[in-house]
Amino acid sequence: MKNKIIVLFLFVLSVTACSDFPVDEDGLLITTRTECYVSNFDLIDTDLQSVKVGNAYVDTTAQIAIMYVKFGTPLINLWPQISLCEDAKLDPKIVERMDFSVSKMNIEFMEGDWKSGNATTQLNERIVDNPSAFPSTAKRFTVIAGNREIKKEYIFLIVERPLQ
Amino acid sequence: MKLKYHFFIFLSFAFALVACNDDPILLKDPVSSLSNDCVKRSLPLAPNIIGNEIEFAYAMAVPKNLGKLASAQVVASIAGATGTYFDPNSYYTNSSGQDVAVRVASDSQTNGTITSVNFTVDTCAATLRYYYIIPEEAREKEVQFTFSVKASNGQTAEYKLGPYKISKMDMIKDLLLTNENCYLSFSNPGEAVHVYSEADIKADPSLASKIDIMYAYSPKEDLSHAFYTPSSPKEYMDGVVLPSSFVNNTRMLKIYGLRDRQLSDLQYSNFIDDLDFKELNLNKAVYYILSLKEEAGAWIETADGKYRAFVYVNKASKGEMTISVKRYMM
Repeated sequence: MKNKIIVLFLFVLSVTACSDFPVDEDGLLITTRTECYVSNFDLIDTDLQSVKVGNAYVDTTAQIAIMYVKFGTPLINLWPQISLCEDAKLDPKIVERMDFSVSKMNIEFMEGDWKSGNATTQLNERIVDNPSAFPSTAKRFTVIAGNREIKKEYIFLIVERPLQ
Repeated sequence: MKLKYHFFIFLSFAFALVACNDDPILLKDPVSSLSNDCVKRSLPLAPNIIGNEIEFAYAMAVPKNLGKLASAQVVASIAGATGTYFDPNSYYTNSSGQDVAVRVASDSQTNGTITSVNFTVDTCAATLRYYYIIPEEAREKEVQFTFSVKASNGQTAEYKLGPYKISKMDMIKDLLLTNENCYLSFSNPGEAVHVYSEADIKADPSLASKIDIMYAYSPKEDLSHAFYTPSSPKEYMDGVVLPSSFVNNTRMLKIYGLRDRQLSDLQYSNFIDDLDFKELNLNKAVYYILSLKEEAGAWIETADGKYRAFVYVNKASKGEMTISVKRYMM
């Protein structure tokens, strides 16, 4: 009986020893994935409800995430939820509520920017095409790919929709 | 082998015991005197708030051959407020599940801390309900109750319940807010919130300095039911004008889904207690709240830091909103 236990123990030990998947400083597995992008973006208010109207617009080439919020939404105490591609992680980590008023963009709206309360592609593209208008204080987060070698910094912008 | 033998002995012993046991056995001694029992019928977790009731059910019984029930009384350690009484009815539940009252006692008499009734029918068992209205004197204190009953043969029985902690906070329910009835003040003594109307402020402009929040309704979707203070950004107020002497910058935190059972009358067992107000952190509060809806609410701290409150939205329909409030003095 005793012998059997020892044999089993040794077997388990050898299996463990063979696994050579490396882990990073957070204890997360480093994989071979090279994808590195933000897939979605949301902000949660103190009432645990999302402040988003419509969908967030994420441009993975320009590395910009835009969120549209209702007119008058207070931005000083929000919890960001940033969805990433598989195995990726975010830097800095989100550990508390944040002041996103620093990410708020002032922009002149044009005809066709809004359709039934939601932003149109025209508006999304106009914002992305004009980086000089981005507030310098806007929140920035870096996405780190599964292989931990590729890093991409995203800028997060908030646009308040006109009064509805 | 040895184990089998022991098991067999044990089994036959158990059989023997069961076999011998052919008379029903009373688990307790038979009732030979007046006895009583009492339960608190109010929600067990709910904070006990001034002006609200605590309900008890007091059961009494004496064996029929010993006599009948004569009188019952409760002594509260702090005299109850007006409205404290013994329900003179005993209740049974009919086939549709409804409580049906049967009158068994005289009208309840309350004298100081003592509330009593005399039985008016020949009965040897009854359960009476006792409603204690929490008085102002009991704020932050503990209340105990001594229930007692007398039988016609002179026997008495007694049952003690408590102590029950009485909360420091005040509560008020179902206040209607409209664009005319729109100024909330949390600083009136003994009143969780007072709603002043436009006419009240016109008649006595000095009242404006007591206002902590102004309610406004806008048909625009992004604003709808809103709370404003003098620090609210003007661009979010859609032309709403605050009274000139309204200066209190009340701090607020928007909440959704905190359905306090006492405020909402819904089935959820959530209760806001004194401790919640004490531990509330409003460091990152806002000075305005837009688009409040049903089941939403707000934590409030008055500008002088003297009062904290929770405002619950019971109903939010076009042009008006019904709120219930718990308020705690710091």
